[in-house]
Amino acid sequence: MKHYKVFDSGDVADAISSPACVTTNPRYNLAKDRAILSFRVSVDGCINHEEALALVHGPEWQSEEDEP
Amino acid sequence: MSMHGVTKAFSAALSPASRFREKSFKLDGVEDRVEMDAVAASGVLDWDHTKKWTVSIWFKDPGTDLATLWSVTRSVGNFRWLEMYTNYSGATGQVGFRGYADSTHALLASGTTLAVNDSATNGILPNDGNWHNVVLTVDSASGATGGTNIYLDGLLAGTGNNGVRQNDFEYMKVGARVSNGNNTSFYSPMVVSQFSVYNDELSAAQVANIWAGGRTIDERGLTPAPVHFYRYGNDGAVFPNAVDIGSVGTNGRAENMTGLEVVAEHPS
Repeated sequence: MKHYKVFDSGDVADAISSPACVTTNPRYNLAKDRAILSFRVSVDGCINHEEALALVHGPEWQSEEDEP
Repeated sequence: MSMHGVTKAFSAALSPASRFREKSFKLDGVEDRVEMDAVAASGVLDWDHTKKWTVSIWFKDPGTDLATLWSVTRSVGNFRWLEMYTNYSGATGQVGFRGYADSTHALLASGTTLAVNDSATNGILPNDGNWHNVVLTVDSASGATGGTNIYLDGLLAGTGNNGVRQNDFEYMKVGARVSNGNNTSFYSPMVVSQFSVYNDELSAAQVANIWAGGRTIDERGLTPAPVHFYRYGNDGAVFPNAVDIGSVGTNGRAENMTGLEVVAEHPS
């Protein structure tokens, strides 16, 4: 089971360097100022899979584009 | 005694590669994807008015939200991408193609999207718990009538006429939309088993051979054979690699996944 946590983009490199971090190629939000990372163990402030799924379905992370 | 449903005696007779054919990737729908950029970079999937190609994917349980099965884009220029996706509107399931040439033009004459609802002839419910095979065949000739076809579980389900625009691609992802300069979104929570790319527009009979009654086969035995062929989690791949056992070796990579997301199931 993975545990998820959102980081400001400036903190992503440090977070990925943790041995507990699963993420190798982060998913960023549309503004590219935050990324969601996953961990093998629970970390402070983490959310579960269900909560992470709900988060990334929000408008900060994805939006339909206008049809040409 | 059974070992994953295979008797010990029979198992011993199987080749190691065959015995590995028991696995798939279970994507989390949050950050998991399979990087296949080298496939797009090879140019085999360019929509350049000359190339013909086909992409096949086997999957199950993609959820009911809009989610991308596979997609391609280029590094420069917005709205230069295409994808195959699944979606639901209420109880109505849908599998569709979406393709852009630029910010104001689509790849199809009718617009960006060619979607097949489950109620249509040969439509499917993509999230019904069964394995499904979605095949897109393309003859990218400008204005080609019937140049774009969607086959669902071996049967023709949607046909589109090409517009006059073109596109070329550098990035490819399985399980997420990649668009507008390698940005990703609309991740799929699907289980994905087998993925293949052909450098020709397959006929209905050839697509039926891929479907093979609903069980994955070694597509290298088909004519034509795929130029890129992946059985995710199998073929002695050292995780997170996705080994290309097609006629051209171009490995992919499972991104942001652990070995626990290699699951012991596949279409059979």
